Amino acid sequence: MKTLARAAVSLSLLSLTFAAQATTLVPLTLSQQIKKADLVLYVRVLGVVQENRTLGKETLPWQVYTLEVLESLVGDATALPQKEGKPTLSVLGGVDFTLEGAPTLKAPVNKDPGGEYILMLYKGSFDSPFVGFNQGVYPTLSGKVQNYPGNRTELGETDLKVFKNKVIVLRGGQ
Amino acid sequence: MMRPVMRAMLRRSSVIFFTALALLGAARAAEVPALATGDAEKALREALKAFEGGGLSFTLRSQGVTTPLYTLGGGVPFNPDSGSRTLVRKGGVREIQVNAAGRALPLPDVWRSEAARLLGLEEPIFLSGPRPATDADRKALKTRFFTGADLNGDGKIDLSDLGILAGSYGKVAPGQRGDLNADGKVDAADIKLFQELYKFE
Repeated sequence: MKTLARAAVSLSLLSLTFAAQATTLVPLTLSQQIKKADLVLYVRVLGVVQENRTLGKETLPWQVYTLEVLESLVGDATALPQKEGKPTLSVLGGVDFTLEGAPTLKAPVNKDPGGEYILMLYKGSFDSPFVGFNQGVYPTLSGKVQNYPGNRTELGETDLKVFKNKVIVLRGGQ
Repeated sequence: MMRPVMRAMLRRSSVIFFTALALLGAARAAEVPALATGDAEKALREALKAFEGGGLSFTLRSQGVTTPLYTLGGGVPFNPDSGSRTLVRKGGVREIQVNAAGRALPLPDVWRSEAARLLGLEEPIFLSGPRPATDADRKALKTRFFTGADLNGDGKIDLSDLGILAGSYGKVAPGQRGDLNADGKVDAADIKLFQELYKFE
């Protein structure tokens, strides 16, 4: 009995996996994120590819997302790097090289369309272009806005239309 | 004239008494395996010092260590809202880069936050203000570094300790709770050790 219990415990332990998190971030409220963003876009992800880029002595992989802009709430999406006339954004990381905590956007697979998001973005080239590293990523589903998994930003009203209005009001129509 | 049995009992009691006394008054310099050089090493050592106290001190050990590696700054520009980031390279090598040019968070607080993680303290990714070492941190560290398999420090080695070990299983980082053999990873060897120490009630 004891042996069985111990074996069961050992087996269950062996099957455990854990997501490590070791990034230090400033927590930002929704209003702070909106005010800090150079761009706030309502987008659909059209595709993602990995690109290797050399910076100094090192070549590192990046996930390059191509976006369809459904609505520009703040700023002009043409400020982003373009690929075949579509705006793109790049997040550091790829095969055999991970930036812990960096968001992953849902790209289309076969008939499954890409994810739709409200994205709060910086224009500059950073490891992660999202305001608050991963805080300014809001998946939308069935007309509702959600936090990116693991985030707990206080959203208030989650209705997509109300959320977009809040962005526009806070930025004074910029 | 004292009988041999009584002499043996007295000798045994003395050994237990003096061992207990030695443990009670013991100071421990715990080795923390990590790689850091230059300013990063200096900052990390300073941050670790903040968590010392109650007879516990920390020294960095780099010999035979391949991960984690601490650096100040990095090639790719940091997100403006991050104080540090972790890159996991091929082979599982973890490189923690602290944002040297960051304005969002004071550097000493970011280093203390990273030191807390290195020591196996539960540290949230969000840092909203100063990160001093607290009494709770020191208590947790004392529990971790002084009590062997009694991971929650409740005086017994039981399933709740196993739960803590399970929570760290598979993690490769120094100072993890459950790293009973202090080899920088929580794995089958620690479970084996736990099994040896565990008593079914």
